[in-house]
Amino acid sequence: MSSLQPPVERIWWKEPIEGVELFWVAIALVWAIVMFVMMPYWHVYGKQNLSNEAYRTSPETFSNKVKAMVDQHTVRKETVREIPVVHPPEGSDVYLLARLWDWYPIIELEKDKTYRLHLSSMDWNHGFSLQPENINLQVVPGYEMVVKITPNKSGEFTIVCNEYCGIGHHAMTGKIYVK
Amino acid sequence: MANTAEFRTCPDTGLKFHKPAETLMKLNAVAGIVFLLVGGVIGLLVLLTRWPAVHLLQADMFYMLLTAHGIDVLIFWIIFFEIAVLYFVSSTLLSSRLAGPRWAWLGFILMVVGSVMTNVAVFQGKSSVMMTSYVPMAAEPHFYLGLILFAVGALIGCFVFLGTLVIARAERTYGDGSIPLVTFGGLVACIIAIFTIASGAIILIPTFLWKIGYINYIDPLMYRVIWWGMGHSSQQINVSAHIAVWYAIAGVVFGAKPLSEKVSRMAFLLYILFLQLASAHHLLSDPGLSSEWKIFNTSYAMYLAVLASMIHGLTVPGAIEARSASAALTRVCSSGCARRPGVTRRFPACSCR
Repeated sequence: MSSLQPPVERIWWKEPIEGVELFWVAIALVWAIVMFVMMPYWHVYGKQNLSNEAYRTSPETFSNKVKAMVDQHTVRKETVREIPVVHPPEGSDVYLLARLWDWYPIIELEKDKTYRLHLSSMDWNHGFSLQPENINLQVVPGYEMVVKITPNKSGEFTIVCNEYCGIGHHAMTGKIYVK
Repeated sequence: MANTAEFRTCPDTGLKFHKPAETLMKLNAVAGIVFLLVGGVIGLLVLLTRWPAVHLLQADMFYMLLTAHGIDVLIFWIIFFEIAVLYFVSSTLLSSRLAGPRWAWLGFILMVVGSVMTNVAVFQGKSSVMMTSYVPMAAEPHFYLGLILFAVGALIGCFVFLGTLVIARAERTYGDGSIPLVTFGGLVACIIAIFTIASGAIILIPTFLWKIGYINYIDPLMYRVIWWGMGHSSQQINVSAHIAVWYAIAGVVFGAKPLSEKVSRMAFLLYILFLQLASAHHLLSDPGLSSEWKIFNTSYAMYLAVLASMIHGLTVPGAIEARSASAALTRVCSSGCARRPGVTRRFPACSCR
């Protein structure tokens, strides 16, 4: 029962380590270094990476920007709730707002063109999760995240909320069209 | 010195139990198991709801139970049981009296009151905020107050453990060398627990004050960063404590001795240095935190903590293997083979061919 008792050798830190154990530590260390290098490597050479651009904002400021974009670029309205579908020009700032419990507005983008997508929340924490692509971003109230996006597939994509936000959480979905 | 009437010797293991400490170990362990049971049953209901063919519960009930499940299993069960482990590895393994049993009782009572209070808040239905309770989504005030009381109680338990180490040292109850490896693992768990509880207090006390109207704003991103200092680290207390328990089981059941005290203790030390930083992997997709910060905390730091786990992954079964190999060797040798020097601690058992 000696792991339950004080070390037999009082000066245990001077005991030699057996070769097989040292060998294992070396394998584990090499593996840890490989994994460590992969992360910055992927950050530099990978194609989908997190944005470093974010600003402090407030629900009022952000919703005013959304409103300005909706007023200028709405092309049609969808569903019985008359949700505007916005078709912003290439390279422009696109604003997507999260609130209890929807994503506003619906956005229509063009394939292989680049946009600056701004995300913020009006109330609680939400999670932007683009399906079926599985691209995930945290949407935190008071913060505006800006992500440079270039859609490379056309079709209809669904945004689901993947951060619990109360009783309507599971029904909180939105839409992005890529033409 | 301790009164000898307060001790009993276990007839099976020969370990010396301080009776007041033993009572507290049992109570804390039982409280832990009760929360595991409650959380486990709720977990089953959660599972039956997520299973599309059954879909047992409606949304409001589901979210309420999911909140209770997270808190009961990831905070209360783990920390109650770890306090029991801490008292065992200090008082019993060092044959020492427990420091301040009254303080330990106070800690236990606070933990019970706190955990029950938070559960009551959740089951009243207006605190379905998940274990994370991200602001500005708010729970009832007694949801936070319960967690705070629980944390204070657990902190008292940690200091009782540290006090017991000091007493055992001063009264020379275990000789004058280092503490056993299992106790060392418990000490690592305790240090991580103090960090965890401090993080919890730093964020939940202001959140409680915000809820009752004394503070008007809690930054949601700040909340997330500090909260995960508690939310993830509470699992790290468990990592360290349960590896200490593995070493203990290997010792009790197989009579195994660690391959190298130095390697095993260094691996525990890596947990203290790097494991909590890995909490940042819960914040990988957050705005406002730089990629450099995320990469540093979740790769460099996390992989050094992973390294520690990989080392324990070898040394625990390795210790058992070495012990059974040397036991086989002893049997073989006593039946007439010559003892071969240097093979007693290798993986292949002795061969007489």
